[in-house]
Amino acid sequence: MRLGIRLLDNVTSYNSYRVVDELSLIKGNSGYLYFQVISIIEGCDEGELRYIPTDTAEINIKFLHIDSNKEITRAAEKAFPDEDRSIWRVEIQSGDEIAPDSIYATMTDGGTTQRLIFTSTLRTTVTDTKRFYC
Amino acid sequence: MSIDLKDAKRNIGSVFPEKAIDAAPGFERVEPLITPKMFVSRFFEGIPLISPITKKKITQKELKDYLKRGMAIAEADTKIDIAPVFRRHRLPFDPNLYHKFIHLEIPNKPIQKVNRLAICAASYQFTENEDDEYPAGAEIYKLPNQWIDMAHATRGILNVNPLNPAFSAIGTQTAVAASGATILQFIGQMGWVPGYWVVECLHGFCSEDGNVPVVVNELVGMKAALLLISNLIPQYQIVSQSLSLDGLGQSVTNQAYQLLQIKQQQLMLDYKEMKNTIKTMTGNNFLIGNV
Repeated sequence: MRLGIRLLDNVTSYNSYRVVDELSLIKGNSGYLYFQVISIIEGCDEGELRYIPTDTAEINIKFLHIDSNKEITRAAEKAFPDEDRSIWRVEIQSGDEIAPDSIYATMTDGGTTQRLIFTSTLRTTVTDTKRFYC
Repeated sequence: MSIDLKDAKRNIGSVFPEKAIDAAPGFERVEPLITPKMFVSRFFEGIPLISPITKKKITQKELKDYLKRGMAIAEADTKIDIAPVFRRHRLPFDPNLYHKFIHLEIPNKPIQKVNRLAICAASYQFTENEDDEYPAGAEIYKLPNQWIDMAHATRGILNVNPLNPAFSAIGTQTAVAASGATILQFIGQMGWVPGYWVVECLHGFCSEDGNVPVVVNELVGMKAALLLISNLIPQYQIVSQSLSLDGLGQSVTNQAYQLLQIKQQQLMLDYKEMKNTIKTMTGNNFLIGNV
């Protein structure tokens, strides 16, 4: 079975969220990045099934970066542990520098660790003077 | 594998616009790398992306794949790096260029940062990175990063300046063989040596947080659009039909097919121009002729 993660937006409860293909973070803002664990079915582009890991599952998110000093590794947490274990979130801090599509996720469940395929598009929007030169 | 760029020598100004250290607000030249949504809105606004045969709408995943291909081809066509790439160059020793402030021509452009400039041996044996995927070779002498002149780094040229302190200082790394000022003093007497300098650079138009110049996004989008259109056009089996009977006639042409054809022709011209523009920005465009 191949598992992946897709990004969620406007998450207010386990029944109120939006599945998005693209998400843009604002550099310098802090908050949470929500995502859902899914089961990737070959040949099915839309409506992949959500996958619910066990109670003891752990997901680690690594934001890859070409500069090792800017790589970030964080443990994700279940957003709604009692109602929907497929929805997780990872903290984003104001000093984080997140490169595009840089998520590397692994899940450890029942003693097995597997990589989760990132299926969405993630970008970072800068709002300071770095919009005018790079 | 990530690299520790904490002590890397930074460029004197930005890569785009070249050597900028500040810019007036209000004119955004730089934006996040093109996404499928931006791609559709810029190149296919109002054009249905539906297969005429299967009636299936193109998906986000497929659009992302077109963009990936477009970016790869654009990089190959322009011979520049769009996303950051960390490279290790092994350059020859040329006595003439050596005496010109150790003039080094790096084949890939633009250069954002230089992490290391050193004299290295060919052997990997007994070095700390011997078992790495791409080992570097025994380091004989490492030049301090402060001495590297980044004046023309965007165009792929590095120098060592000032030269006198370089001769009087001692190499900063443990040596396998002779090190220090002595080596720099007598290597000027040497002839050509292939594979002498090791230069490790961060290349790319893309800043480390993923922003690219708008013109680069245009180039990638144009190429991806050409790939998409070249996939769609052959699927139109009937592009026009006409009927005539006793002097009366009617002709119907498929509008979408015509539209895509015109768009394809325009995109081909625009892509060629944009490619040359970007190559000129990094000095990759050459005009050669006979006089």
